[in-house]
Amino acid sequence: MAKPLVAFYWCASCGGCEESVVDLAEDILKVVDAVEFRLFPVAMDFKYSDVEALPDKGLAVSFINGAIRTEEQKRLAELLRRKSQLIVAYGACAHLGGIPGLANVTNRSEIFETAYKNTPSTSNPKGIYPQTVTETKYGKLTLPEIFDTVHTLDQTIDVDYYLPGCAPPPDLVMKAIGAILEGNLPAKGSVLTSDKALCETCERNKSKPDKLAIKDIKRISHVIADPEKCFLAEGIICLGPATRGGCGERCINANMPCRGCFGPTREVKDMGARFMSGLASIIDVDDEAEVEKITQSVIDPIGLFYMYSLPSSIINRKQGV
Amino acid sequence: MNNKIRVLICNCHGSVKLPKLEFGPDTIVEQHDNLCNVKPKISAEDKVVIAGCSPNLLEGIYPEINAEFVNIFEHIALIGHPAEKANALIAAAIEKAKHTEPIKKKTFEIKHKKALVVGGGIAGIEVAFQLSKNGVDVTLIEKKPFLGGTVAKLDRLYPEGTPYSHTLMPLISNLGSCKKLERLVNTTLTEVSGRPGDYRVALKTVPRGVVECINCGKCIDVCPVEVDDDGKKRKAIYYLPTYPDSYAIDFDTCTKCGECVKICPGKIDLNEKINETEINVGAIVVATGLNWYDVKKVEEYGYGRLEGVMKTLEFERAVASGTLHPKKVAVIYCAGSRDTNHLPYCSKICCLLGLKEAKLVKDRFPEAEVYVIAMDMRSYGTFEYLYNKLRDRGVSFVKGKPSEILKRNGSLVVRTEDLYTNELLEIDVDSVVLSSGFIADTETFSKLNIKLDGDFPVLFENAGLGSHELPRGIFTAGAATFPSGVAETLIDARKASSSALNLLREDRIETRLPQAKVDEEQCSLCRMCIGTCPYKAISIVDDKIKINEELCMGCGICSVTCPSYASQLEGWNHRGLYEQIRALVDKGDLLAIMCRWSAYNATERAAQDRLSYGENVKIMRVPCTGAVDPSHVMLALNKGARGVLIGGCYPDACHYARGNFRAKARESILRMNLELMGMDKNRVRLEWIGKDEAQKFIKIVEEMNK
Repeated sequence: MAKPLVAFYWCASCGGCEESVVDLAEDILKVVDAVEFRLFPVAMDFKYSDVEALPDKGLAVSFINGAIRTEEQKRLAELLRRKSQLIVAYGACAHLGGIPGLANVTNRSEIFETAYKNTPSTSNPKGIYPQTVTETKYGKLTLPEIFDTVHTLDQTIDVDYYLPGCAPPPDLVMKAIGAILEGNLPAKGSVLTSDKALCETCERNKSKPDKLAIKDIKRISHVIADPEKCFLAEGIICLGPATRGGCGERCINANMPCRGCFGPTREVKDMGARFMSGLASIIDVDDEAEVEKITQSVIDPIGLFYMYSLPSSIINRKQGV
Repeated sequence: MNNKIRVLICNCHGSVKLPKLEFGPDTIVEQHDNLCNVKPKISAEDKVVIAGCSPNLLEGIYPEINAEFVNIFEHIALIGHPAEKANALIAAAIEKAKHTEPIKKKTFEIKHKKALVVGGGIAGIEVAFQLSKNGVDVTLIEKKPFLGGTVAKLDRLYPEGTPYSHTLMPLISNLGSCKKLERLVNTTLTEVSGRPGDYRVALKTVPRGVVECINCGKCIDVCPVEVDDDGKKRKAIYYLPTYPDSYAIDFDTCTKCGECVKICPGKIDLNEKINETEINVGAIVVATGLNWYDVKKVEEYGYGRLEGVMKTLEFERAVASGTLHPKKVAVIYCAGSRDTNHLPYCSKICCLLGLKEAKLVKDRFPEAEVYVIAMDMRSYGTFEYLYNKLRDRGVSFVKGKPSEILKRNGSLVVRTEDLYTNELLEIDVDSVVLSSGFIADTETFSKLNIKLDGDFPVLFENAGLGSHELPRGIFTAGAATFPSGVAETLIDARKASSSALNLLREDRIETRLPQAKVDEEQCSLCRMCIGTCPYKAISIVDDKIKINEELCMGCGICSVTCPSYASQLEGWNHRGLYEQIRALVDKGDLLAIMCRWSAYNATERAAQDRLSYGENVKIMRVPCTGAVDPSHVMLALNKGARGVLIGGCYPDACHYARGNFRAKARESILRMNLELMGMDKNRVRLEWIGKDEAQKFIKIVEEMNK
């Protein structure tokens, strides 16, 4: 029997999701035994035309990581959708927009200005910015168009499953691959991890007082956190209560609070708003001015509450720019 | 049952002109002209959307739990808004109904027509009598060896100074005629489980030592242990003329020397066993009374250090029993009361106790000098007459708070200022009476899981709707919840009895609706909700979040707190509200999400006062600003709303105690986020709008519409 064909493609991402495949260690052998890659830019020399040549639904599954922020990423996502039986949004960026999604607090021209002109190490007196088409004496050079707004994968194409995380941990990856090979998949649209928030499995939850009530908000960089205690109970913002579990609490075990890379639980549409609502609710002060003082002490609320999920939120980009 | 949504539209005797309304195949539209008087038949399972006049009026007529209300009278017809707007409001309510799980009524049985009364003071005795007289089986427990409580220790009662026996004795004799009454002294409640109508209560009875008694009193002659019982001497074996009619041993002081055993013609057993039993009751009445504040903690007054410095009770008992003949007495008020280092509150009755002691001295020793030193005299109501009478009888009232009491040349010196004369005084006296405040007897409350805030259970009778913080099977009587005088205590006891009777005569009662419900599959036990519940209804039981349906008042604050939407208020499911807003808001609209207790009424008031406002203002009614989800506000903005106004009760006046502070914090962070997302943060405003503040409501929406 022919092995199922698989694509592993990257969009706006950091390479960490590719690294997560390497993190499978010897398990990778089981994967290559079971499937045959047809596209894997970081590791194998396939061309887009190889995919185009496949019949529609010729790929059993495409794992796509990274957010969608260029015309090329969009085109490839659409191509893979057409050629694949299943699309798995792989990692936080494809799932929710991820770190690249924070670009939605600005726009393309501001980003170009910063990246190609204003950074101290850049000298660009003529103000030359990347163009989609450049005529040279050797011919026409093209670059994919960069969008003003970063999108999640499911805002671009229909997605069947989500493998969450920055990057997805090996055990969830192996489990997902196993489930796909065995055809033992949950309902379409599922996020392939725990359905409950991180607190469910977090060791520190046991130390949490019954009543969570905070009177001030501390930054993790300004305190030495007690490795046993619940961050939130200590006034350190931790997105654990609003974030799906299943990650193995890698950050928590390194004494860092959760930043939400696994995304929200099933019912939640806007992760940042949900967490913010919860956080505001545990501020234990009955004085308007004092409430205001505490909430205003949150540094970079967008970066904090929407670190991985801004493009997936209800108001998903800065308005008026 | 019909799966379609019934849309009942009332044109109010033809005064509301509406276009032809159709809302798709999932609905059945019914036109009416007088819904407030002619009620169509609605079955319990029907989902209905009622478009008519004020929901404040209609929900009394249509208590059907799955009814959504749309106010097309005050919000459209009366203010001249176009009839087409009704379409949008009704369609949005239909969307909410479609996406909201129907609520089901639940009832539970009042299984045991029996009551437990905890505390054998006057309150408990009166409750036991009233209940028993009305045919209820009663078990009355008292932790001391005798019934009577605090009153049995007093000599007399204010204002007249009648001996306590005038009141207590008839109450105790009443019990003698009760047929279905069990009286257990030396008994405490150790554990309670169950729910209203079906409590299982564990009781512990410690031995009284005296098993058979003929009241000969020989035992007190031989008992070598002398005890100072609040100013009165007694032996470790003693008798109180209340109930039971038998001596008892105070095992806290008894040395078990055995002398009484030898002389007793009846039977004394020093090694009697503790008896533990369990009973089933339908209702529990807590009448545990009060405890004196430990006045030793007010060190500057020297209690326990200086001879002659006494508590009111000790002084009263000593004078009454003839062991003390004071000539010059200072009664010091607020000894440890209204003092942030001690009791921050006013105990209400101690001013009267102080006056009572002053009167006792004047009654017994008219020539004695009495100084009453008080910051304020709070002889409330007609107790003022007692104060006036004592002034007339020569008691000196000094306005001040003594700084210290010291001993000089054998007499006590009270140092105080007198704010009437602006002098510093040193008053020489032979006796000082410290009138201290009271603290609750909290042991039973904690067994019943009634959490305390400070010294007393906080029973907020919000908006006169009753003590919501107690499960419906638990009642309080008398000074258990706050110090009260004898008359007030008895009145309260009768109220508690009739409340308990009301419950016990029902066969089944309904659970309160709507309630917050927790989806265990979603709940991660993050515990963020627990502290946000104003009623302390949420706790962890067997590693699960449990909402006490007797305590949940349906405010929805926890639902908007839960980061996973695991907790949801019935009828106010986040999905339903999301779809409602999605259907309701069009570009340029101003969404006003109004608290049903205050701001919503202001919007109706505006119509009644014929004040109008922009046609783009669309009003939603919610249980509390604390139930407004920031995601839904964002959704409205995303749908193109120019602004979202959240209107609620003024800060300390929230119907659910603290919902508006939760709203304030959420709004504050949301506005900050919106600004960072390039939006004018003033597009979202949280405002306190009183129920009659129509002008304020209009001013705000006009500002937001500019």
